[in-house]
This record gives sequence, structure tokens and C-alpha cells, in this order.
Amino acid sequence: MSNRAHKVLSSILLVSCTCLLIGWGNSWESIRTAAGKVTSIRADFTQEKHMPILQKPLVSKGVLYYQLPDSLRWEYTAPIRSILLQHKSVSRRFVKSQDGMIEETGRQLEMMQFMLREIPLWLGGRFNENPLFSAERLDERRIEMRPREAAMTRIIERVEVKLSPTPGVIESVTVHESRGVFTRFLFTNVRLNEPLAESLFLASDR
Amino acid sequence: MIHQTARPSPRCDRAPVFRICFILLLAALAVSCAGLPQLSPVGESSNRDQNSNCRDVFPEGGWRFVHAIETVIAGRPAGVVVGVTVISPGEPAVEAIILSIEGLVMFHARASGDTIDIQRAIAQFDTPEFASRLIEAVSLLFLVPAAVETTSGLSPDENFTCRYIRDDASVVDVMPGPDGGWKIMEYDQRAKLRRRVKADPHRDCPSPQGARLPCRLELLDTVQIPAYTLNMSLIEAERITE
Repeated sequence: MSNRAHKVLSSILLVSCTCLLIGWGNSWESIRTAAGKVTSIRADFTQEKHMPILQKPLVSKGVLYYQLPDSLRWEYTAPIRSILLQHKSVSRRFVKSQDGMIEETGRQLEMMQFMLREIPLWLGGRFNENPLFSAERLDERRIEMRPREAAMTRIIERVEVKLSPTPGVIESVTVHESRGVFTRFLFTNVRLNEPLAESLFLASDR
Repeated sequence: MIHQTARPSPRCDRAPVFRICFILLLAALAVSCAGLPQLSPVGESSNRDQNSNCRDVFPEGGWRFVHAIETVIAGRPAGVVVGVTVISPGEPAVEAIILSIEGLVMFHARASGDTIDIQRAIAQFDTPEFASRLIEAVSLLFLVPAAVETTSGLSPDENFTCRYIRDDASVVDVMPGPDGGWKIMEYDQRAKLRRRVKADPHRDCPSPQGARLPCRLELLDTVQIPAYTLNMSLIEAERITE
């Protein structure tokens, strides 16, 4: 897969998980302040793929764990089991094949390196400092991000983050690719600042 | 009684010439071995029934399929994507979409007749060759081959085979199995195997409205070098009723 595709995929995950750190606020400063109070996240997610060709969306489900400063577990449980792990600057990805869980290698690893570079920006609530996306607050509950590079707009038009009424929790992240084609991540059972076992971020736990 | 003493051919009694003769002999053997499997005739009534079974290999009417697709290259798993396929046999047309597990559309094309309309293709999926090969593979999987001539019979390993000969002289052999599984072999004009598809016998699969759909498909593609295998597991199937 190309570097650009990796960047896009990484961005989808980054937007989806790190936005869970967004605190309630109507300025970039308040968002950064709220983000600074969060040390860990655990949430279920539902991923809906919408396309005009589909009568109903394709639905995937999973769970994510995030522990500051840089530990991530983004796990799909259905319909295809897949685990993305990041811990102590090491990133790995596993996917279920007919031979069991296999590790994806090669170009897939580039995506992980990209995430390592980008996550601190998102965790810090510094959306408007991201080199790939420009950010705008549409209202008190919605943030819209658009790619800075024209070439990337061919892959992603914009990303919309919808905040939950509950401070520190978001409702959804929607990644718009083109007209009528978008992926929506809905987050439920979000729990902040609970201790997470280190084993969650290790390849032995898969 | 006439006795004839075998003598070496005067044209092959020198070493270089002998080597050429040997190579020609090997080439002749190779050509004869690479031919299509011979089909031997079966009774007419049986032939009629089995031909019907060949058509049952392909889904009837319009369908939308979602598969998990694992790519295996040189025996090693190379990754998993999601494939969405829409079949419209009436036109006939196929639409193929490749998604990452995260939902990103990496390739989307629709093919009808000889026209392929690529609606989206990001790097690594953005060559015309990829699009045409993918559409060929999808059509092989889900559409009755468009043939100028059809025949049928028993293959050397005793499998009933429907043979579809296309206008470019390429050939598709369809072999329905007794247990619901089936096999499709595609050969080029020189009778060289291009693709092979194997379907597992029908088991517990998402198959709405009583349709019998294979849970797993295995596609071996030798057109591209290195050859690769796609292991496809059915996630969803939906009949299109528009």
C-alpha cells in the first residue's frame, strides 16, 4: 500500500481514537487543557461504511485502548479480527487469516511509523498544528478537519468530529472520502483514566 | 523376414545436431503436455443434467457480496482487505470495490461490456492492468463465461466439465462437484493455466432467500508474476431486487 494510503489510514485511526481525549470547550486552548487531564481511554467502537452502492452500511465492531504517552491497541473484533498495537515506540499489526493471527509486514509498518510521529499532536489537542490537516471548530460540538495537501483531498475530503454532551467524550468521527462515501466511527462505553494493563499493548496478548 | 538394423539418424550423429534434436523432442513433448485436458463424452441425458449443474455454479440474478480477502504470495500471507462485489448478470456488469479493514476505499471500478470505469484507485491499485485483471477475476468468479462455443464431457480425472470457448480462443472449464463444491479453470490461447478457482462445499453461510453460496473461494492467479492466491471468506450476501 502506498505511503499516502498509509497516511490516510493512520489519520482515520488517529482522529478516531485521539479525539476521545477532547475536553468540553469552545477554544483550542480549552481543548488542550482538557486533553492534558486524560491519561487513558477505553472505548467500544462501531465502524459504519456508507456508500451509495450499499443498501445498508458495512458494520465492523471493536475496542480501543489508549495509554499515555504512546500505547495504543485498536482492535477489530468483527467481522474481520485485526489488532493494531503500539507500545514503547514499537508498532505492529496482526490480522486473522485462515492460518490464525498473522503479522502484517512491509509497507504496512510505514503506517505505524507515521502514527508515532502524529499521535503527540493529537493527544495534545493541537489539531490546528497538525501538518496534514487544518482544523476548524464549526460549533461547540463539532470540529472539522481538511487535508492541507491537495493530493490528499483525492483520498479524504474532510473529517468531522462530533463531541458528546459529556465533557471529555466524543460521539463520533466521520471520515468523508467523496460524495456519499464516508466511514463513521461511533464510540460507546468510553471510560477515561482507568488503569490499563501493559499486556494489552503487547503482541503476546492477541 | 526382413531385419532392419537400427542406425542413428544421419542428421543427429554429430553432437551439436544431436542436442538440437533433443531440444526439439523436449519442446514437442512440452507442447503435447500443455494442451487442454481432453474431455471424453458422457450420455446425453446425464450431459443435460450436468450442464444445468454448471450454471448453478454462478449466482442467478443480481447480487451484492462482501468478502474478507486474504492475499497469499509464495505461500506467505500478505494481508487482508474487504471486497465488495456487485453482480448484474442481465447487462452483464460487475462492480468491484476494495476496502481496507478501516473502511478506506482503495479501489472502485465498474465494468460493463468492454468498458471499465475506474471511479477511484489509490496508489498500488491505480494501474489499468490491475483494474482489468481484477475485473477479469471477478467476472470469472461470478458470471457465466461469454462463449462462442460450448462443449462438455468427463475430464481425465473423471470430473464432469463444461467447457466454454471464448472468442479469443481462451477457455474456461467449469467443474461442479458432487458435494456442492466446484472448480473453475481458465486457460489462455496456448492452453496455459491462467486462473483456478475452488469453492468449498456449501456450509453454514449467510445465504439469504435460500440461495446456496460458497462460504469460501480460493482463487489462484498465475497471470501476474509472482502468482498469488486469494482466499475469500463470505461476510455478507444480499440479493439485488431493484
